[in-house]
Amino acid sequence: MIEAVPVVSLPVRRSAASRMGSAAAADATGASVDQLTETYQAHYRSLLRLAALLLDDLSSCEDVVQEAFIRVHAARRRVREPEKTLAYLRQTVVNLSRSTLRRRILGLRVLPKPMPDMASAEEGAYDALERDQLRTALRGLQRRQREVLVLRYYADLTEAQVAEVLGVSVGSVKAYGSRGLAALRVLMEGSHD
Amino acid sequence: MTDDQPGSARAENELRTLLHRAVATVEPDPTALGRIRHAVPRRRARRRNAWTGAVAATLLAAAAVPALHAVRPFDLSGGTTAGSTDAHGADRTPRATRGSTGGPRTAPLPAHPDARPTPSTGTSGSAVATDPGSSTASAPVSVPACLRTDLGRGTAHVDPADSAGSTYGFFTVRNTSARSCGVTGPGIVAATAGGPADQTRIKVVDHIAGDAATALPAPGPVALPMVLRPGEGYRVRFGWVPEGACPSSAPRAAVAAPEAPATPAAGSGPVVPAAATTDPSPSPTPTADPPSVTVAHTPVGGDPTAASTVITGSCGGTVYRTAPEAVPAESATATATPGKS
Repeated sequence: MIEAVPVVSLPVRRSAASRMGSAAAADATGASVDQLTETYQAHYRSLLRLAALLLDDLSSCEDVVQEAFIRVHAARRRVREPEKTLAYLRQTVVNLSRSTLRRRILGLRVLPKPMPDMASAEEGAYDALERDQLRTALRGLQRRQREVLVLRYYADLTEAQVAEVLGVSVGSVKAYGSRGLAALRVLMEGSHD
Repeated sequence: MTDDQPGSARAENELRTLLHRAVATVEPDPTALGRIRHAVPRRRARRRNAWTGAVAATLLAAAAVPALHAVRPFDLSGGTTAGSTDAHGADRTPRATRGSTGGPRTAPLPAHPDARPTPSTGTSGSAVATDPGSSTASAPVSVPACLRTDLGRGTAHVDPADSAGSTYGFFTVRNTSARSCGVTGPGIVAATAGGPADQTRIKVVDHIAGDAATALPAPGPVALPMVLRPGEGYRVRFGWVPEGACPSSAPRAAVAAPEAPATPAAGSGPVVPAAATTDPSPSPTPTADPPSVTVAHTPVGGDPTAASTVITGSCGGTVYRTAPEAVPAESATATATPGKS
């Protein structure tokens, strides 16, 4: 996978060709694995952190982001548009996070492992406290509000982009955002006392 | 957070900072890329084979539905249902469509004229009336699906680790019942961490061509249900490819399961077979528990585990498993060997 085959130069295989046999698949794999590594290095960490804000246990986050990578990269059409890959990944992470939460609500998943406390020496106790407060507060939000805030202010998407990811109108994004901010503030202040 | 200015840019910026800080310590699992890389081609293959799979599922259903019907009279001992079974294609005329589907691995059906009538013929009436004409060529005719209780004498065989540190082995499970039955699924291969080994770093995946388990045979077409006559069995191969290092304190063993005493299980290989039913009772070693991975096979139908084996010396990695392949009966039980690929 070190041989850096430029992805673009590959003969385009349409979906019909994908049935033709594994030989065709094999030579395309080398190139896309390279691309996979690239995408991984560029986006995995930030998507994992995005998931960490939407979910509350690290192993679910890993599962969700890995599954998103697998899905997006298994669909060749999607990786053929590198400029859209991140958007696909992000969308998938959000959707999978939702279904993970839903499963958990339904009680199908055993109690999640808590996020490991990674408060290190260089991180002050105050920071750790603040971080935990924020996580707790985020969890107290409505799911939509949390998604909007995280996509808007962590992933730095525009309102229009958030609307697209969540499949709602821009107006709704604005509404969820402002209500979410207000609710978050209340929750954060509540936890100060 | 500020008390005033709802929705202000200041609040937004503060939130931005907070959010980033909140997850600043979240770091990817170092094995993530490897997992994704392994999974992507597999997922592609699954997509590619989606419609092939649909065809296979149809065939499976065609074979399994009568099989399920055939099981019922066995349970209920009802004569009426047995009658209905016959209506479902246990006729002596093999269907033309079936003939064309004959997978290479489906064993010749009980339609053999040799003198080995299954004692349960009366109950599993579907076991095809003898028809010398159709004999071995006719593919999956209806036999009852193997119940979990039909399958037994599970053994595990493990070869010593190869130069790359990978360990290969296989599980064998046999039809211990007195009738022929069809194995309808690949069963489960599970891996459990022992000692300092890390369960989160252990995966079990299906073996595909080009993966890290290079010593496993390339996967071929899988023909399920696989019909097993009494005494015949199937084999599921696996390869353990360790990945990553152990925590420094963990002792590393070079060879597979050196401390486990070889149980004198039937038909066992040379190295450390541990039938699940017999307690492996590992002799206590003076050191702390070495890292180990217990690889176990549970046939379709669920618990109990048919066989398991312990591989020591690594804390994480991947188990690659194959689909079941047919294994002939051990001794003089069968005169004809099944079509083994």
